[in-house]
Amino acid sequence: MAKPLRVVLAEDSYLIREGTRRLLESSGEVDVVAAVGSAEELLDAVERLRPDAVMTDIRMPPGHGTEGIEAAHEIRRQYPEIGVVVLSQHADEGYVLELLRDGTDGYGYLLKERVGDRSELLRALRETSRGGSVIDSLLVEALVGRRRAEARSPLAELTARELDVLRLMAEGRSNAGIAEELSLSESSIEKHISVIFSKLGLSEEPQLHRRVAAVVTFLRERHDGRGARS
Amino acid sequence: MAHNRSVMRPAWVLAAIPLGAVAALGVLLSPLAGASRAVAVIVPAVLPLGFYAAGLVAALLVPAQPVGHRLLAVGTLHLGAFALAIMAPLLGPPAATWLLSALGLAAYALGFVALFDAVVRYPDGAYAIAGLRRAVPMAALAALAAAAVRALGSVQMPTVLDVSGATPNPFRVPALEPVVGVAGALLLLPLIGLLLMLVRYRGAPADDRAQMRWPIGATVAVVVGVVTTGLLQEALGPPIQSAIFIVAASALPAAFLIGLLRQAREGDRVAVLEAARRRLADATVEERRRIERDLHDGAQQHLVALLSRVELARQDAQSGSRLDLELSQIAGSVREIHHELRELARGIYPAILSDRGLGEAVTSAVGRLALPIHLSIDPSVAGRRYPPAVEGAAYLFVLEGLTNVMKHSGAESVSVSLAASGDGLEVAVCDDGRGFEADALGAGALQALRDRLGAVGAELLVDSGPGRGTRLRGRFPAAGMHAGSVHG
Repeated sequence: MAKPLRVVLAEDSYLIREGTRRLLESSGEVDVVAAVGSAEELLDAVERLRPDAVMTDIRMPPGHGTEGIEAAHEIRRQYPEIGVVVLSQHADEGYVLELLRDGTDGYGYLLKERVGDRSELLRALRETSRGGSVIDSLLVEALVGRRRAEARSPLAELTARELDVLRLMAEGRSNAGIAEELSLSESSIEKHISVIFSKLGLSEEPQLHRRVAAVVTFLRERHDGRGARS
Repeated sequence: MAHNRSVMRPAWVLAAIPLGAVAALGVLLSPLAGASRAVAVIVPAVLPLGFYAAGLVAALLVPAQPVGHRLLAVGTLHLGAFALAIMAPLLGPPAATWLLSALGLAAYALGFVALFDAVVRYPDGAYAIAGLRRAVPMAALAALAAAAVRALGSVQMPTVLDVSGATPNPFRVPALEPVVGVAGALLLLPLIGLLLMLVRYRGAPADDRAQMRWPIGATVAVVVGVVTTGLLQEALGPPIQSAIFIVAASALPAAFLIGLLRQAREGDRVAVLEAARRRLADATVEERRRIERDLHDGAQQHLVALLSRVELARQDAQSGSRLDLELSQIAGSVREIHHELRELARGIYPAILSDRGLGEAVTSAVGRLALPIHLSIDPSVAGRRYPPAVEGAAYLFVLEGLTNVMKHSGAESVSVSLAASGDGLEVAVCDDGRGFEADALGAGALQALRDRLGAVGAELLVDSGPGRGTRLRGRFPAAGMHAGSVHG
């Protein structure tokens, strides 16, 4: 087993903070080097401890708004090698787009209830610490739905199967992972992906997180106002 | 409240007060100076005096009321006209006499225009009938023309008040003589104004109607009084007739004044209610946000903590054992409850509305519906924050509008738009469904929607008909955008 990931945890609820800490540490894959209760303490701990990844609540004192997202941007700006996973109660894609406003590398957005799903938490921490990105599947679906509602979206041209593949790609799955999930062969997944990219007019990139970046960048196109709003 | 009205007395009103007072004194004291016969002057002066007094009281008590200003103008112009008519014969040269007389005619004519303006703007000061704003200056020009015709066309020295014996008109233009009578049509102006008021009465709001009844009632009383005394002329004799005229004539300006004062008091009461309503709307939104926060910080957090404990407990259970299965089912149930709670909190007040504003919250809500919806948001609205009460009302308006569409319309195409209108906001939900006859729906059908908008000073506009879809629009005035925005 590789060296455990050094993680700083930020969460204002004591119960959740301790629960998450124990959950992560009991896996043996993570060393929680600090567990704090506010964005300010989080930034302070990151500066002192330089962890591999950060897992932070979105809503923290003093404002109880989107402090977690602001802290994530601050951390990624200063320490591009640190991955940041934001845990959120909000299943609104607007928050995801806000988190990914300057790029997708090293960012993760998971719904709070994933706290009960240790493997998902660990995967997100590992992925973001490597510079990848992870978006909660529920939110990816919302983003795809939002894009598809646009009258002239190229997403409307994707088949149901291709949308499934795209969704799993956006969640950060590998081709093998997608193949397993959909009970298809890896080669047919590769074919689907090349069709998706050609339909969306995107060039294929080898790295996993590049694919997520491409998908999410495409999804947020309208949000930035670059796309037609007709 | 009175001090909230930004429009104050225009300068001409302040000038009219002393001018009218001087003219009134001149007219009332002229019999003492032997310049006129008391009855010939005092009786006709009662009506303008009444208007002057009513206008003066209105200018002092409801200084921002334009109708009050017009009443003052009526009194001042007519008293001035009388004063000029009394002074004119005292001058030696006929040309000077003619000039003052002509000025008097002009002031007299303009007085009727001012009265017309007062009547058509009564009681709230706004022109209730479009187009009248432009008609008034034209009426003023016509009145001046009529005064000129009379000044030049009369055989005798023209005057508004017969105070001295007849002298010939030095500037007579015989060609105008046949049309001199037309100048009398000026008297019709106030009558036309009153008729317009009667027309407006039927469609006027109840508050305005209550105030309109005063001058209408007084006019009826005056007309009845004049007709009756006319019929009884022989029996009553001139002194009693004059007394009746004086009482009846002073009733008219008094009725206007009473109406104006009551209107102002009503306005104050409405302003107090308005302020209370806004505070209530703000408090309601604040309460909803508080409940949402409590749910988030309380129950939802506990459930998440519980999830982590169940997951920890599963570590000690053998994978695939009955205990492991049981724990995983518990986790599933907790997740379900958590999900329901999140939806409940969103229904009470979506956090995204507080955090990211109206545009983002509506985009999110629309994206979550099964129905394909065409959404358009003005860029200026998308980036803007409104007071919480406005954001809450606009958001819930969209949601309720869409619920109506899904329940009733059978529409294939639905659109939602958030648009800037001036400094305000217009939110619309439109569909191409079966529509409805607006009157066929009970008044209560859209009442909840109307109330929700009304609570923040916004207005609901409904455009629908069988077979032509429905357009619901919520119009939020700019005025509501600043008041009560205590939450930055």
